[in-house]
Amino acid sequence: MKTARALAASAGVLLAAWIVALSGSRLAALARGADARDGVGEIRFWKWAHRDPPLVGRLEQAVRPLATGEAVVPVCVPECETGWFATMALYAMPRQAVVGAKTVGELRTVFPTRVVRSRTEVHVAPRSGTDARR
Amino acid sequence: MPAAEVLIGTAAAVVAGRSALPRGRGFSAAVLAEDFILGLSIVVPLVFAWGLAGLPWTPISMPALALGTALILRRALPERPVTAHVRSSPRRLERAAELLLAVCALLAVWKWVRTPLWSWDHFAIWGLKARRIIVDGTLDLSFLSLRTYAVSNPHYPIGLPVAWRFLSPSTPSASDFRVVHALFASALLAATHAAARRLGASRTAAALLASALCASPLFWDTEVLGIADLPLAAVAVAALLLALDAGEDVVGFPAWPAGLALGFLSWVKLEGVPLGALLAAACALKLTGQRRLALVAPWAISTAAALAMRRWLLPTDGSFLQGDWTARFAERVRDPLPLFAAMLGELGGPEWLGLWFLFGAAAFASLFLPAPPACRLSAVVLGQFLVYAFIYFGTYLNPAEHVHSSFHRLAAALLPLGLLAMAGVSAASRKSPAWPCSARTSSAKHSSLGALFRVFRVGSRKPG
Repeated sequence: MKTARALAASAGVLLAAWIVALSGSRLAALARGADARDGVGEIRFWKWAHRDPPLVGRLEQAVRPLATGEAVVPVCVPECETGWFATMALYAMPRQAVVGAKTVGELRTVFPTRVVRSRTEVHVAPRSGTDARR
Repeated sequence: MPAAEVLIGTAAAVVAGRSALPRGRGFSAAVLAEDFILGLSIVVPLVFAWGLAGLPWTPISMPALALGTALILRRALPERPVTAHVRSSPRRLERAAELLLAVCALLAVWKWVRTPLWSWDHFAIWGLKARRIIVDGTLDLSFLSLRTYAVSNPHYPIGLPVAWRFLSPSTPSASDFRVVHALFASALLAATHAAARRLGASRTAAALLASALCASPLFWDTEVLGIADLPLAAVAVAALLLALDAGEDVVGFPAWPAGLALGFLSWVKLEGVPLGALLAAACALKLTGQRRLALVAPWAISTAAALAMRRWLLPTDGSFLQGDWTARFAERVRDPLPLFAAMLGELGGPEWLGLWFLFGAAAFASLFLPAPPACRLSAVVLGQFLVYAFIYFGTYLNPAEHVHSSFHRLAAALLPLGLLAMAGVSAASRKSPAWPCSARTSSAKHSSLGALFRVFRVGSRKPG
């Protein structure tokens, strides 16, 4: 029992020392304004997931005038990854009926309301062209 | 004003939870954590049914429903006053450990404030559903069956998005998600600290373990901001704390709230079903007769409701075990070492501060010390790891990539239970001679593998 107690106490002291040292370095990094993203998830997935931080806000802003339930197709420049862009659009447009994302040029004869992400901005392009549903 | 909504919703959840528990428990952080988690466990299934009935989901109807529930519970349940746990003034070492805990918590909050929401699982699953599930003041699940929303894993339980929308009935913004995350995190820390004390750990050890939790990836890695892993851990530990309170033989402290909170785990995440079952089994062993039934029955009912919701209201396809999973399982299990090695590799990094090694040592020691609570908590954690291993063996994804992309985060949510197992071992090594069940009647009684199946021994002296 004495051994167990000594081991538990030693582990506690070591753990405390480690946490104090780590907290000190984290405090310094945060105070300096340095990049503190050293978590495993942050290292593995940050760049992939966090590609265009202002995009959600710009999408929200662009679709504000649209009615609830309005069908919207998110459209982005050809080099964009539509899967990622579609997810951001779904997140930013909870009130609209978001249809699968396309790249510019993929839409042919049907032109529903589109939320278009160009290289410089995001805007809503109204319904136009030969829409088979009308 | 969504921030005010979150405040009002939180207060309503606390009142609902508090109304189901005995009076006179005080207003410590741990008590409020119990109230908050129990309140959500009671209210979320109710507001979900409310929404399914097409009733309005507004910033007024949600807190009103919770307060109405609180009123009914207060009138229906008998008055059962209990005495609040008395806190003595801390000694120097205890004060230092609690200061360290405060510093670690502040550092985590500072990082959350500085870091935007970025996690893919937030944008694709949890946050997406929370924002989409209520449209123009009405619950709407129709989107889940649309192909466009396949990315959101429509078969996942929706208890957490419902809880978010209960707390923030208007469309939640990034800051709302962060505030609610901080609420769950505070509840988790307070419950972990208090549960460590109930298990007999010293005040210094409890604060040190809570500090370790705060410095661990569950708090420091912002990948978990706005997703379900930290809330799952908060519900698990708060439910355990309620079970420990019910098991302390405090006259009048009921066991059913612990069961209900354990059942809520199934509403939060898929793995909440086995985790709730393991914890319910571990907690039920402490109790006898009616009290055991009082814990198990609400857990079973709430879990059955969550499973029924999945079966009839959510799309069923999309599981990691889709397709011929038995063939994949049989093939991979022939050579299991690479997969287990990959899982163990995720637990060995310096970011864990050696906590999983300590947990391994504590789990091993708990077999030889008179520490049945630690033994059972270790079994819960190891059992849940086996559940994850089972999924990885049967997944339709590349198993190595599946482990790489998820196991680190999933293990983080089990860390609080692992830390509490350490607290149990620390308590056993600290005051074994004074333990009521450690009389040296037989060696098998206080150092045996059979401890796994014996009752929780919480110690007769109530922690301060």
